[in-house]
Amino acid sequence: MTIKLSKPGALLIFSISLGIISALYPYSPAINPEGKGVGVDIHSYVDYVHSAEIVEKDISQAFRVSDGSRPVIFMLIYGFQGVTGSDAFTAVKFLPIILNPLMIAASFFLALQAFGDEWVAAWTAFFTACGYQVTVGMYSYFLTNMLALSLAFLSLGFLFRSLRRDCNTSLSLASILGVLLVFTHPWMSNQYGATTILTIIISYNRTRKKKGSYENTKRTLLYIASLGLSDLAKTLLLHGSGAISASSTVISNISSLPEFWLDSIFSFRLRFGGTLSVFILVGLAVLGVYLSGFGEFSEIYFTIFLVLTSLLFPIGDKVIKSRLLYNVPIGLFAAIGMSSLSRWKFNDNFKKFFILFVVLNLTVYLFRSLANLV
Amino acid sequence: MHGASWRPGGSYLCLSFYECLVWGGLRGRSESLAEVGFPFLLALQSVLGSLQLLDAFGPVYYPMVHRATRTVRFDLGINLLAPLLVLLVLWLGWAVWESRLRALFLVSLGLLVYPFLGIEGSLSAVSLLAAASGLWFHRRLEEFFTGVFALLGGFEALALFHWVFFVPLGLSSPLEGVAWVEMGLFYLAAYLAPLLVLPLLFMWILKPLLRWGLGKGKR
Repeated sequence: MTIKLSKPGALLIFSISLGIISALYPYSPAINPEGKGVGVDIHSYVDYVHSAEIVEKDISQAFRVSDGSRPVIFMLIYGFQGVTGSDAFTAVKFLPIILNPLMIAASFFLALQAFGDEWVAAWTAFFTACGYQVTVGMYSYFLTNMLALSLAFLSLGFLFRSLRRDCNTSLSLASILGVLLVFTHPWMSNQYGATTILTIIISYNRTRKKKGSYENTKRTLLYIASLGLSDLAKTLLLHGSGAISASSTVISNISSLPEFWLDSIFSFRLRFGGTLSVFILVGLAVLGVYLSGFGEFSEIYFTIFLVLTSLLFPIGDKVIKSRLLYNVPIGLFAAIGMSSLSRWKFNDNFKKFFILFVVLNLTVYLFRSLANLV
Repeated sequence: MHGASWRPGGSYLCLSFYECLVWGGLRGRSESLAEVGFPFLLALQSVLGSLQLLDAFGPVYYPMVHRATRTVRFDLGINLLAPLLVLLVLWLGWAVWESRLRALFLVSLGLLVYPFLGIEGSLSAVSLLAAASGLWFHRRLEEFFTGVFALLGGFEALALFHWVFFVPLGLSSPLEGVAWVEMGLFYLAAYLAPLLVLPLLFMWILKPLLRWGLGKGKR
């Protein structure tokens, strides 16, 4: 039996492979002979795992560590330890072997469900693999944020699928993954949840004007209700850090507008070793955002996401700015830009060499950034 | 009949069927080679000229090297004067053949940079002006950019080979200089990233404004 692999499929597999290699490359003996942990937060995670006494198989400790804001990641570390039989440091060190490809595959799924275009989805996977979400994630060791991005992408993907196909199973999966997101990273669930609420309002108004069916609005309301209820349960029953306390940490990091430019320059030039400044990726994303419409539910969603991010970006300090940008699905926007460019009427040689240049440039960026983490 | 006369501007008188075939074929081939090769020559001038100009200016950038942010001045590590001169001679050949006097005048303006940036800077400026004027008269933009991306792609491929083969194996890399220059170009382009993020986030304001502006322009 022969399996035919399409070109988008091949790009997806290549991207996932890059994700796995990205987790191992910084630990190659020539680059990191002492096997030092490469991320800023790696030791914090190891300390959390030790303090939670998860090694003693008390999984409920995951709801107490770090103010109970992120129990899912600790359960994942615990599960990884159980499967591999490794100590806390090794488990945390090699967790990106799961998280990187998961985030890449999730971004592929989101793009496929949002736009129904295999090439957009495949390019999304590639730009996520070679974009700043992996490099900054490895630099800072944003394990929780990376897991949250994966859950958010999968959850949204299933939501868009349920709206297009009237599928209750997809809606259930979207809600379950959304609940997991709430228990993983409350800041991200705030950002994506607020976007969903505003999207529902706009979608409802449009449906009212067109006198259409409110089925999609009802499904999305059910989805956001499941997220809201799980956040309440987390805060009231489990005494974990929820949406309100997460929002308060954001408000406490508001900077003044005159410091906007200095904060921006710091975020791009110095923070994360300058790995946030991927000119080609951001350039393609600008094109993608310009060419995006405002017709489909998914298009409205992503536009509202950028609107909300843009409202907070000018007044957030350097930390908030960089975290807001980190949560933007930049790979998706860049993929829209890239797919559009490849469909324009340029000659074939131009397209081939342009695509080759972009792929090589970003792959070099990935490996160079990872090699310099140590 | 014997002897063939060759008139300036490319016309000629064939004296035998065989001579017509040979000279016609060679002329045709050299003309198509020039048609294909000229945009690539301009692309090569642009890429090498830009690199040499950056080297002449020596802008500062802040790369992350072994997890520390360093202050580095851009340095090519090699001198591109010889290849730029060769390309300029070829370009001059085109300008003379096509009688492009205006292009020659424009390119000579690049020499004004000499007192400030020296021979490297002025040759870079001359090369870039030569490429620009060549594009202006030739108008083969797609072929030109194909050449640019082919050159840059080759450059990136060499840098990639350094990072995926030599570095993880701990081998001494002959491509380290290429990788270092590539890193410099990345971090120099990175200065534009904070500016690019603004249209990314604020496209919801910019897009209606652009459409309104373009609509007004059309009317």
